[in-house]
Amino acid sequence: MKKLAALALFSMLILLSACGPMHPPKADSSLGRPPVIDPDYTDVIVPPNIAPLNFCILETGDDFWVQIRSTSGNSLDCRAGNRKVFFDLKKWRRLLRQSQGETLQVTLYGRVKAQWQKFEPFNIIVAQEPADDYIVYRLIHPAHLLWREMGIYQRRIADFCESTVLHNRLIGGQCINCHHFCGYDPSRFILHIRGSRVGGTLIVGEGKVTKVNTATSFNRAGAYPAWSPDGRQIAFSVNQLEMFFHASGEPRDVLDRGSDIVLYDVEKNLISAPAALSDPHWMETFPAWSPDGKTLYFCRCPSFETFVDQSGLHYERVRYDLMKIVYNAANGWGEAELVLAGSELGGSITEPAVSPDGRYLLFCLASDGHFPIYKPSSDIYLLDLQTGRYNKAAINSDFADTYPSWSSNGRWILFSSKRRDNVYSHVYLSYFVAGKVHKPFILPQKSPKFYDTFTQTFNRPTWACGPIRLSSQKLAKTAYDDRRKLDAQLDPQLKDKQRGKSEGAYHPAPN
Amino acid sequence: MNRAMHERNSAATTFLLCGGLAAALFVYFLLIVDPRLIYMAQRPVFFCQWDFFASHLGRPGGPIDWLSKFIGQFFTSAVFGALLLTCLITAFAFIVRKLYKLFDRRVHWNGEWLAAAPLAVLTGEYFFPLRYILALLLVLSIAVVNNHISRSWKEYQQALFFLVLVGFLYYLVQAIALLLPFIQLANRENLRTKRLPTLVAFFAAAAVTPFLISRMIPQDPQSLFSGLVPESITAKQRALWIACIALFIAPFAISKFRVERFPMSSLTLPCLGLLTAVAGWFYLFDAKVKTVLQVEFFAENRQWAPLLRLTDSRPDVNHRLVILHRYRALFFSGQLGERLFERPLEGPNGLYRSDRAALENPLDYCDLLIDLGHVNGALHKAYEAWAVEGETPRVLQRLAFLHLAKKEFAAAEKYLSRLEKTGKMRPWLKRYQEICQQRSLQKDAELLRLSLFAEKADFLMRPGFALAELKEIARTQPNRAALEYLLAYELLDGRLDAFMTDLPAYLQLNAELPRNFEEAVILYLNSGLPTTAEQREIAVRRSTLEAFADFIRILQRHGNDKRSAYKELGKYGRTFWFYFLYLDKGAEK
Repeated sequence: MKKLAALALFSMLILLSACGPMHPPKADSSLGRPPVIDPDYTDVIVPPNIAPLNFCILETGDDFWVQIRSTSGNSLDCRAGNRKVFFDLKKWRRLLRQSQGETLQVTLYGRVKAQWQKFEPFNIIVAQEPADDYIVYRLIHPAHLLWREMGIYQRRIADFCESTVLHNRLIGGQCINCHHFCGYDPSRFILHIRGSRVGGTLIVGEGKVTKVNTATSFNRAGAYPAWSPDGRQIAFSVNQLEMFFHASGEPRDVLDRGSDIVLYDVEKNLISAPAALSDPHWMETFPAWSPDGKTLYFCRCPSFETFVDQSGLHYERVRYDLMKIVYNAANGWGEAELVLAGSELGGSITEPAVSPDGRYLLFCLASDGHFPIYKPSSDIYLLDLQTGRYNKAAINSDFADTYPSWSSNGRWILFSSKRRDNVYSHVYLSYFVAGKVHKPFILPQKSPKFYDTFTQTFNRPTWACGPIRLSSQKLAKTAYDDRRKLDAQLDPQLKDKQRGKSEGAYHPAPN
Repeated sequence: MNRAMHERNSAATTFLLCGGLAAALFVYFLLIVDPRLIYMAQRPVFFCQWDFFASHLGRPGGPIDWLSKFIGQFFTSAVFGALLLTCLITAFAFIVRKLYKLFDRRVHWNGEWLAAAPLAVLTGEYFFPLRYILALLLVLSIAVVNNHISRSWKEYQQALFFLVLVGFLYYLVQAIALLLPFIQLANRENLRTKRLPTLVAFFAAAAVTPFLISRMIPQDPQSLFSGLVPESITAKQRALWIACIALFIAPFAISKFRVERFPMSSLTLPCLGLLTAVAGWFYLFDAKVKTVLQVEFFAENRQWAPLLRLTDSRPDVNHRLVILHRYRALFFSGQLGERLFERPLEGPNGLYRSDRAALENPLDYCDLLIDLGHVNGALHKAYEAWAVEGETPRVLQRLAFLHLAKKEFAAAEKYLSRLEKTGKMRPWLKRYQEICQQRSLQKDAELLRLSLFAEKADFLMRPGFALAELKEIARTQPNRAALEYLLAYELLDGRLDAFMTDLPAYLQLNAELPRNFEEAVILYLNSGLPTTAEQREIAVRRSTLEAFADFIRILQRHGNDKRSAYKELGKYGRTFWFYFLYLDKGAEK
């Protein structure tokens, strides 16, 4: 028995010695500069419900210690074995709960041989306003023409819990995308599936899933959706997309050979197309409702044929303007009005997103085209709808910054950026207040090395107020169930109006 | 005494038989099948990473998938692979024997080898997924274990345990788990417990389990049961798979009768098994498929001489990949312009294509585009290859290499770290990790060359415009491969004028023209089309001129009727003149 006790004591001693110091060390010297860490969480503003900001220390040293102190004296200490900092989830949550609206000072100590050195502290500000609880995105490898595995996932931002909404393994490997919520309600959303057997738009609402074929004799199936705030109609862009490739830079690019915006009445299962949104002289796309549901913002550019001449297609001239159209239940749709011309900014405006208070609008500006994710030049701009002033948001990088989206309280902006490697887009969050966008930070992951080896791209991140509770199995079953599939009806007024888009081949003009 | 001796003799015979058959299997797998070709065909993706393992735990059938991918890694070695496959088939025979003995002690005639025969043939089929074989093995092993441990239990205990077992097995191997109730039924009959509730319980287990499991772990609603006879495999593979299961279950049916009525030697069924295997092999094995895989293997390892030898010896194999890599082999051995018209199958498409069909073998086209110096084109194809074959080591290798060539070090670093987790290509990995860390391409001439090309390329690519793409590559990145391919493409396409326009750029790099190019020049100069002084000064060999004169003489002798001259002109069948003359008459050629 004594031997056993001695052995246990010995083992404990060994374990304790392996753990290193239990208290923050006393620094022998100061380095006079903040540490280099990855991901970069220095001087960022974070929501009080964010998961631990685990990070890697990109400094040389044998041992590291991280000390966090809040203004009101709350603290969290952590030893960084192997230069990776993992915060305890419970302690982190407690710290953030107690430090709402305060600044956290993060001090890093590094030991080189026997000397402890202190880095200059950096700050993390904990905002008062929480972000929405969930982020929904698609994960896919950097696909070109073909794809393999992909899925729509939801991630709780308070921890690292990620679950699958729908994986294409469940639906015969087809392509899934264009998920979109009605408001931020996780029980009302749509997603689109491409493919013969399971293809269609899944509309989830009131506890049931309906598969709708939004294609009619007038239009192709809906692509980019925008669900009206009252939940009665969904504006869809209907596009004729085609990929082509560049011999230098980012290889991928996309052409839209013809697009319109149509409206799907959820209750009547009816497709209509206001003339101003389906004008044959223009290509309309990327609908986005104002929060009051009275205005529909969208992007448009002249029809495809405008860009083709004898020397070929001048894709670089394809530039979209930001437009709006007023909707009134009594008078119907008004005329399309120009909000901001792409030419004024020297680029193409896409992916508009209106803030929940209706005051601001975020959009992407790229050199040309309508697929900013493939444009390293794509940046996010902020437009003040009240004053008409716009500016490049201070969240951009040298690579594609796209898919901006507002949290339900309008304080947190979510977007995807390829800034880490120019290939993979990752989710970034940024605090927004009084017209100012603050330094963005990457969605934290449990492993600080996660982004170094993760080979899936985060596509179209959007906020949701809670988790989607509907099972993947039910979504998959509905996708397969052709008996209950609804074919959208076409507004009788549109029946005679057939859309004929040019399908002929063309040669791209040289750069 | 006699009985004991008889048993000893029987055991010795069985031992010798098993040893002999296992040795024969090993030789078969090593020399005839070559497991490296199975790896080439299936390319199992495996990462030594917890996340990778965890991703397989989240779906029914995931665990067996993970195991098959792990085992598949050993197929890169012919000997290890053959050994593993032999072990699998022997293990199958052993477990089946155990089951037979467990269920009916009278079964003693080595029937397991009969059931193993179609499985051995299937295992050697290059595209048959290993996961099904492993799943079958696991199901049978669990049947043995279950019957051992639950034999003395009460009926309801057995039934409950069985339900849990089927559920767990379904999670491990998906629908193949549904074989377990059927195996169990066979045993039940032998144990004479033919009570209806038991039978119903077993069938219910089979019918309900997929639904129950899919409620807990989502899966494709269409594949709840279909995995038992996999849909993803070919009709021939399916037939053998069914034969394997049928032959395995058959002895249970036979055992209902008194086996004494079927006096059989212990060699009867193994011999029958051998015959079944041979018949199955003839039914399933396609030598052409093997040739294609061998060609891919040689191309992958840049072994151009054996590739040319193989394709020369198999003129009947006209697969797209064979044609593509044969042209590459000809180019690398300096013979493209000499032997371009030996097998001009598929015309210019055989040489290079950029349409949808190229996406069936994107990595092969990626390699060709690297040869041509077209970095973004190769990168595009490498990403398409990811979609086709997954994150295989060779795809990761190409992606890392091409991103390095584009000086996109962060992306290259990511792929190199991914490749590191596969445990493959270690020396290559080490070399390029170093380059990546130093952020300099100076140490690698090929990377340097490609990075220079990448900077100069300024054109657009559109799927289906192969010639335009080749022209642009040759214009922006003039190098021997790009120019030779462009000229070869134009000749194969019958575009003599375009060939003559692009020839000067080639002549700047190569003083001497290859034979087929000379033929094109002679034909053009004698066609009556306007020529320039430079064109007239292009040097051609006297022998080629004489051959052309003879060619024309033969044609004139037949009154310029190319149909009647066809047979006599056959001796010039490998010339551009012959190809050009009969270009629109592919059937006649």
